[in-house]
Amino acid sequence: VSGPWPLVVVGGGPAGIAAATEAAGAGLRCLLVDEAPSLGGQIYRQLPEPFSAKDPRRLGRDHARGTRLRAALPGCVEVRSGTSVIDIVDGRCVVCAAPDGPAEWVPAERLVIATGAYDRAVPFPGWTLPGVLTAGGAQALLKTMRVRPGDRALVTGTGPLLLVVAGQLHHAGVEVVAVLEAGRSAYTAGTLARSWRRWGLLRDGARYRLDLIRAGIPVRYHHSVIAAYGDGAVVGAGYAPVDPDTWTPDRTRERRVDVDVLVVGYGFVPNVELCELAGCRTVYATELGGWVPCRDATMQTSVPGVFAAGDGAGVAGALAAVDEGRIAGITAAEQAGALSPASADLLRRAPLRRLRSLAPVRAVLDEISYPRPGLADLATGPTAVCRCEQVTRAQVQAAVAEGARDLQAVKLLTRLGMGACQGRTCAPPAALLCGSPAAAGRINPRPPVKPVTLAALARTRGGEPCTSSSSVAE
Amino acid sequence: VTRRLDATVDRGPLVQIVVDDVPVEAYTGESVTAALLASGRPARMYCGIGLCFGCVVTIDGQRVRACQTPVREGLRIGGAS
Repeated sequence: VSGPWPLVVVGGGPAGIAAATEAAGAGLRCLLVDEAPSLGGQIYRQLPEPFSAKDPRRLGRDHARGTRLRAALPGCVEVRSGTSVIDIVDGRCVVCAAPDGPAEWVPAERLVIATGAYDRAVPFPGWTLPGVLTAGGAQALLKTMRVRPGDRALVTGTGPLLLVVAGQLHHAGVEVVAVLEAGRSAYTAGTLARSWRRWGLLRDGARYRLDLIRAGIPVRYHHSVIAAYGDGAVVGAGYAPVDPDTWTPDRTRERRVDVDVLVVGYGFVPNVELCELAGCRTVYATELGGWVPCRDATMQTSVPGVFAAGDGAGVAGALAAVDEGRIAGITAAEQAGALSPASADLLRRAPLRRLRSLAPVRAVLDEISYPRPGLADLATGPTAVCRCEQVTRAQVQAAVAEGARDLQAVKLLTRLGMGACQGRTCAPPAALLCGSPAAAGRINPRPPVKPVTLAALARTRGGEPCTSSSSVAE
Repeated sequence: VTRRLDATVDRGPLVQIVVDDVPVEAYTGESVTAALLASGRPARMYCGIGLCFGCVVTIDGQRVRACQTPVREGLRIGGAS
């Protein structure tokens, strides 16, 4: 079939799979592009190709949820795994790149952008040493690769995911010396009353919390790591109490532990770069993890026909992501004429109701875990905030003192954000150093947002449908 | 090989890779980062999902993300290049 795709979904996690499932179910021709080797996103990631589960039932609840989600995806959806989207041109044309192949311009009438979220980087002395990894990174190793990152771990950060990761490390045979939560406990009578049967992560966290108690692993509230020590690899970590309101650490009360693994989980940041390249208006929402696209109740962004769903449009977890994806897919099908407005309304009702029922628990968790300004003080002057370009906290502060008001100005003065990660890692912590993260703005994403060889770009296929008003890739 | 959790999965073929000119056994399909950690070597890995580029190493002469690169027979990490 030639001509533009009626719908292209970018991202094969819970939101993307759900969007493609609903749209294709309504009869819409649909392409699903995903960077990973197989569908599922970070939370429902599958074992690598030659691995097989001895007993799938023992792989846990997330594995079963992911399997169910994938099973519902109609076979008529064309899936391109292992394919990165490196640009979106004119808000409609998706530029794809797969390793060893040419780049390709894929014209689309509608888009669902479901690019997920990633761990918030929190710099402190020693944070770039081997052995320091994010909560998401630890889960990738444990769940997918089935490898322990080390032998003795300290887990630090905020939110119920910390307890989940600590429990998973413990079950994998890693000695967990402590869990440090910068905020307060989520397991109060009030929170539990509101979340009962409503919040999977909180429930999983509670289960692991009991495991940690049985194993004698302490959870210290209002504490954080303040330094990792080692020469070439982590051999120890220092932690200290933090102010309950600002999370500013009290370095005079540092205690040290010997560990070879330091897991850091300070929440997630939505991956909005493709939304920005598509021209979607964004707004800073502290409780959603940072910059998010503005959306209406049908998940449509400020660009008509471009939808955003899941954690990439505001961190709310996999359950919310599935329902947001469904709503986006249903509405895309409605816009294409595959569904009548009346039947689309009917189909949207259940997912909208479920999203509303998740809201109260989300509000409680967001209140506990939103990043406080004192997080910036986990770094000291010589700590690299931008690890790609080795720009220190002192250099960022000097730039701010010279008059830099936002991240763009800090970038021009220091090279912060100009490395391979394009500022995904350093922008959130650097924004805290600018004062208000909202006023600090964004480091503008530039295509290609993922590395691609010049050979792949030179052999780009299918440029014509959208080249008329664009200068990209000329 | 004690860092691999083998109770729940069957892995693919065991192959040989080369780390800084030293032969190391690893499993086809696991990430280079996982192979390094499983062999007891320190490996820099921060985000673990291919976004931070903190794990970039030289593999067969190219600078690539170790956490996103699957192991294959004969793959060479670092060493004389």
